[in-house]
Amino acid sequence: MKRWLTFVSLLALLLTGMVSAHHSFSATYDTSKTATIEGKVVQFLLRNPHSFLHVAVTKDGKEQVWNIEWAAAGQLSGTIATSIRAGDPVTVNGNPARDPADLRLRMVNVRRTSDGANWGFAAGQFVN
Amino acid sequence: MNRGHLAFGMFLAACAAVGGQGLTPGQPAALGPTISGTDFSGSWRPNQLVTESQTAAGDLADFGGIPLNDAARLYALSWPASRQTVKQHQCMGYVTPYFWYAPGNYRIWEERDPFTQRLTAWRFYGQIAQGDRTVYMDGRPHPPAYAPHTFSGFSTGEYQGNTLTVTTTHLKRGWIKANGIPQSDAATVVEHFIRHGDMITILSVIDDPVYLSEPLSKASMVVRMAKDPDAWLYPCDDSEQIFGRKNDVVPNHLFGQNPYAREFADRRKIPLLAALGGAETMYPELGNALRDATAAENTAKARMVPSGPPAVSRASDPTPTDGEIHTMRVSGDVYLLAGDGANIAVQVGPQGAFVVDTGAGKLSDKVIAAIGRISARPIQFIVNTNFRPDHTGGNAQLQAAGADPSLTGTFFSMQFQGAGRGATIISQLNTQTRMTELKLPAPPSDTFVEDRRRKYHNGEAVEVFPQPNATTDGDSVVHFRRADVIVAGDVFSTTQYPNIDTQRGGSVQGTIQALNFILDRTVYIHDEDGGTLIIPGHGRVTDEWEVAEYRDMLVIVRDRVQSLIQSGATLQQVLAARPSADYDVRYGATKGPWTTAMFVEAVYTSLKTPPKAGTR
Amino acid sequence: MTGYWVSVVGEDWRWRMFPTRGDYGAVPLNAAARKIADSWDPAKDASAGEACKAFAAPVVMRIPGRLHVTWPDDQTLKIDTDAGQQTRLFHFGNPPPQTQTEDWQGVSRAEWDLGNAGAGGLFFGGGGQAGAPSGSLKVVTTRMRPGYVTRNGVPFSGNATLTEYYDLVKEKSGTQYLVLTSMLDDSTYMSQPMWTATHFKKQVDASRFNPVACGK
Repeated sequence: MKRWLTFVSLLALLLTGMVSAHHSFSATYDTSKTATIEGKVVQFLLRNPHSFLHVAVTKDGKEQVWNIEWAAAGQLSGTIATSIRAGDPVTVNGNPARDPADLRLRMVNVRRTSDGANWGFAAGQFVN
Repeated sequence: MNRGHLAFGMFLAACAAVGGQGLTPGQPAALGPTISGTDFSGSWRPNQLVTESQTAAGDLADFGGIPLNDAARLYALSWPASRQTVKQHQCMGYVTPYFWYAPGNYRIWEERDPFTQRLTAWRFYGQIAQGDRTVYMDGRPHPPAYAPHTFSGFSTGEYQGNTLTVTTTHLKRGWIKANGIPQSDAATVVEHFIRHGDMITILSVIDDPVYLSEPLSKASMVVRMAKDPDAWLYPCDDSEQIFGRKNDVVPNHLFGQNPYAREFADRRKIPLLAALGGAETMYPELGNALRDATAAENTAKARMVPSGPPAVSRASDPTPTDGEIHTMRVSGDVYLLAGDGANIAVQVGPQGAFVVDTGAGKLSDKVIAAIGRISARPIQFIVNTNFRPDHTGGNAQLQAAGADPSLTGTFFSMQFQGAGRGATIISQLNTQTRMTELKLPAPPSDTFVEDRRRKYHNGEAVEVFPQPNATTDGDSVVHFRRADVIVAGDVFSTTQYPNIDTQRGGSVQGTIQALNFILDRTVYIHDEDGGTLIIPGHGRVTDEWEVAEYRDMLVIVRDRVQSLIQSGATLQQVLAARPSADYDVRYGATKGPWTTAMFVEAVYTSLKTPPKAGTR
Repeated sequence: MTGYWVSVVGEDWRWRMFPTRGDYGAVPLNAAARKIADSWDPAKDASAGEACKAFAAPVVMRIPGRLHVTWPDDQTLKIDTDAGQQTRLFHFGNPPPQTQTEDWQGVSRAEWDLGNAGAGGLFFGGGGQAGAPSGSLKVVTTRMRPGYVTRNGVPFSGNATLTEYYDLVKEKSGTQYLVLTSMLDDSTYMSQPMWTATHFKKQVDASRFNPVACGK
């Protein structure tokens, strides 16, 4: 059974770089919190300026599809992003959306539980 | 370059030829004085300090220092960041002066006439959203009001001493700050560029009659980079971000229910009244308004919901009123004829003209003459997008002036005396029915009910799609596929709220679906600019951006009315709540054939008693 | 440039209107400056008779307020601010010898920076008030008594140099703006020079010029 969300309060993430002044993630996501979801990949969209990972999570017997905002296509080349496929089991940590009704996260890190491939744990791997 | 841009460029060139040089027939144009001034060429980046202080996006409800009016404040407070997940909001361009507040690189260069080496234009390129601006320095006039707007707008420039002053019109609706504070498509922006060594200071002045109570002036800076940064692109592709979301969902906060309205004020210890902006927040006297903290708080709260009498649109209607028909090439072989009621679209070619709507019928002679100037062959087909007299008033004359060879001299017509003459008029069945009921002259004869009507005409596919229960029960939209022009009829307007006729099968939901139908067929060139062009029933030619804006407006107003209905409000209570208060300054009217009150009532009625789906 | 001007706070709004301790935005202060700024206490400054520290030359033009610009003589441009009741004197040619201890406004040397302007331009007056050059007014100020570069206590040192460019812009509507581009160079407290842009709108008269002393 897929585990549901766990909310953990963390220190606010530092938003470095000038893109933060332009993009204002804090308006969209609660950067002081981290949520964890576990599920199966539905789709991965390699895109600019942000890629998106869709993960199906089962809660109370019903399936919900979460949308995780990830890094730009250029940042993800050579990473787990090139091998991720529909059906892959993943655990994702991310900042939840400000509106709790939105099933969205801003990617902090992801790990494919079948082989341990991951992103977000090494230096330089963050969403800006 | 797409055909739309090519057409627009050709149009601009025509304007330049006529308006820029003061031509006298038979005399060559004078060269005019040389234009010279400060050189702004080079690669530039934002002055990090100033830009970060003026966060392009801003915090939620961080409106201080901006002279936004009540409508703009309501608009901004109803905007949640999740609006950006809507497909048409994911990749959008930057209007000026927001163009200069992006965290990317800029490049500025000159264009010179190859033969005279005179300066003809300055070019600005901004990496973020790949904004590409041309500042014409040759005194050419700006395009007419019914020409398309872009995120870059149309700019002309002149030197005042060392300062380059640039005036930009024809801007799309964009952001003053990307936290919901709108800059309307009626804005004119003047920028003054002042260079000191490796810095350019840009003083921008936004004059927006729709959303600002007085001009907003702000200064920013860019720093010269010694070396080309070799980083100039900013690709953006929209995607299906939210699974399972219906296409009539546009995230919004209901009036007075923005949960983050106090967040910035509280965190920064700024009085809420100041944080919510307004002209007084720009000046030293702001303290006077805050002296009585209780009164200031009460005023702030009052500003978070509509109050006062209904506003009317402060944007100009671009429809010509000089008694002449104005012709503009839109794209490919498709033209706009404006000036006689609703917009008329004409496709021309060797098979004869294909006309969509015939106007009010007051200037039909001139309409026919204008068509004659662009089409060597008579009108063969006319499509009526709805029954209304301002769309069909010219039917009789235009039909009579036309000829459809498929009606005469064929296997089917030869033995019949008096076989059909003139152009063939096509519409959805209910349009024919309504026109017949109302005894309007020359109703359509060629009808369809629920399937698209298609023709291959003048070398392109032409599709006529019924839009059930949109503004009426007989609406259609027409798509010229090679020109990639959609003629929307009254489903879309840039001048007024949609004229939803609930007595004749119109509904707010059907109109929203019709707008989404259009949006499902449009493709932009880059970041919501260009590509498929749309001719509205009234107003200027646009691309998908304005259609999306209109759809958003309709969804948001619908949501507000629906919420009021669910709380038990009567029609009078709904009207009093002013559910369209942030849009009235752009589309509203308090008198005339279609008022805000009539629109809100139509939304209310079509939600309380939706029409039966499909035909009568 | 003469006459009355009001600041239009369209940029850097919260830092100029509602400064709070520790909120520095993009000011390039170094660790030493941060330590001082983090203990900013305006009441302490006032009780030490240093309320005008927050109205020193680098910051006084950024404070919401009004300016009164005059030419007391052909070689001196004078700016009086109503906020803090400060006076800045811009000397064309050599400034008079300093006869008093440095004050918050330092010593300012002015010149016309013609750039590449040809005929025309909006500044009339040159080598002082007479003449008709066009371009910007460039002012370099040194020997300022150490004060604050922001309203919330970021310090500048006695070694700081403030370079300012004043440009006049006139709109077709008749509105006139005074655009101030400033650079503060202070390696003691800044990790890099700090550039800011500020602007003012011309006023018709003195009716809203409201002098208020520092600290009030």
